[in-house]
Amino acid sequence: MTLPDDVLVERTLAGDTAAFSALYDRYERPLFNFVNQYVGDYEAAQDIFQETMIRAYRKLGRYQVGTNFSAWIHRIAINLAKDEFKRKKRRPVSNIAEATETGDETDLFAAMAEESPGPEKVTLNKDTARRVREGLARLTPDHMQVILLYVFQGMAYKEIAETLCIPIGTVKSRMHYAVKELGKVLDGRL
Amino acid sequence: MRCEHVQDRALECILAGEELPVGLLPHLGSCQECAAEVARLRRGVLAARSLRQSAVDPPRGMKKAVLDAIATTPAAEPGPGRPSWRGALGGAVHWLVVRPLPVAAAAFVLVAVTVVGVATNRAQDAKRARDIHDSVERSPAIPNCDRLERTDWVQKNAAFLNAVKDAKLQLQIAASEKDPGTIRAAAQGVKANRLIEAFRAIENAAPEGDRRLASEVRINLEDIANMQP
Repeated sequence: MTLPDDVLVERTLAGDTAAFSALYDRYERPLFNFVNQYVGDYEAAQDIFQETMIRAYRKLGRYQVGTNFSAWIHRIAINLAKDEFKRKKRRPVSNIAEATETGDETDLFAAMAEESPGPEKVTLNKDTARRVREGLARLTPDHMQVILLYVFQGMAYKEIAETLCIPIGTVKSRMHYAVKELGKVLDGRL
Repeated sequence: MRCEHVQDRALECILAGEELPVGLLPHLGSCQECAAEVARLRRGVLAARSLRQSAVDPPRGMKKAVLDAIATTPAAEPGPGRPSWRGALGGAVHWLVVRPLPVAAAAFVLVAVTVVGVATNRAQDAKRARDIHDSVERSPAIPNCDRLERTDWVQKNAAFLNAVKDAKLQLQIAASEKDPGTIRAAAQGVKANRLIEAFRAIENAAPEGDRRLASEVRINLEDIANMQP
C-alpha cells in the first residue's frame, strides 16, 4: 500500500531515514526528468536534483503537513534551476543538441513507411520527440514550467498554481499559449 | 458563447483526458476559428504528452550520494504542533487490542483482502498494458493510418484528416511505451479526441478500401481505449 507523502514526511521528521528513502524513490524519476527538461542539461540537472533532495531533507521541518509536498519540493527545484540560469546567464535550451544528432529532418507524418517495421518507427518516434523538444525549447521558462509540471507530474491547474505560487488564471493563459505553440510543431509550422 | 470561453473549456477537457462537453459542440460546429484552435490544442497536448517518451533514467549512484550527504547533516527538525504518526499508529493498535477478538480478526482480514485485491488489480493492469502494447506494436494500424491519411476522401475532409493524424500519434505513443500509466494516458487521449467515433464515421461514409483501413485502426484504438484508468 502506498503511503501518502505527508506520512513519509512525518516519519522522516521522527528520524526514520527509510521514509525519506521512500520519498526519494517516489520523486526521483519524475522530478529529475522535470529538472532535466527544464534546464536542458543532464549534468546540471543531476546537481540541481541532488541539491533539491538534500535541501528538502534539511528544511523538511518547514514544510507544512497537510499542504502539498509535491508542490513544495518542486518549488525548491525550480528556485535552484533559476539560480543555475542566473549563474550561466541563459535561458533553458532543452536537450536539442543531443536529440539533433540522432534525429533527421524527415516530415513527421510522411516519414512513416507503408508497412513500417520496428526500426523505422523508432526513427519516427525520435524525430517526433526531437521536434517537440525543439518546440519546448522555444518557450519561455514560465511557459515551459506549466507544461512540464503537467507532463511529468500530471498536475492540474490548481496544483500548478500552488507550485508556482501564481493565480490559476495565469496558469491557464500560460498553458494555453504553451500547448498552442507545441501544437504548431506537429502542424509542421515551425 | 464567447470563443475564448470555448477554447479555455476545451483545453481543460483535453488536458484532463475528458470528452468535450456537448454544450461546446454547436459553437465548434459553426466557428471555424475555434474548431481549428481546438484541433491545434489537441495536437499540442499530444505533443506535450509525447515528452514522456524522452524521459531519461536518473544517473546511477545519485541516491547513494544524496543519502550519504544527509547522513552527515543534522536531522530535519519537526515544526511545533505537528500530529504524530506514532500516535496515530499507536491509536490503531490500541483500537485493535481493545476490540473483542472476532472484531479485530475481521478488521485484519478486511485489510488483508483489500491489500491483496489492490495488488492483484495492479498486476492485472500491468499485464493488460503489456498485452495492449504488444498488440499495438505488432498491428498494421499505424501504417494503415498513414495510408488512410493519403486517401482522397480523407484529404478532402479536414476533420477526419485531423482525426487520422491524432490517431497515428496516439498509436505511436502507445506502441512505444510499456508503462501502464502512459498507455492509460493514451487511452484517455483516444477517448477525449473521439477518435473512435470519427473512425466509425469514416467506416460509414468512405469508399470500400478506406473503410477497411479505418476499421483496422478503430479496432486498435478501441483496444487502447478499453484500458480504463
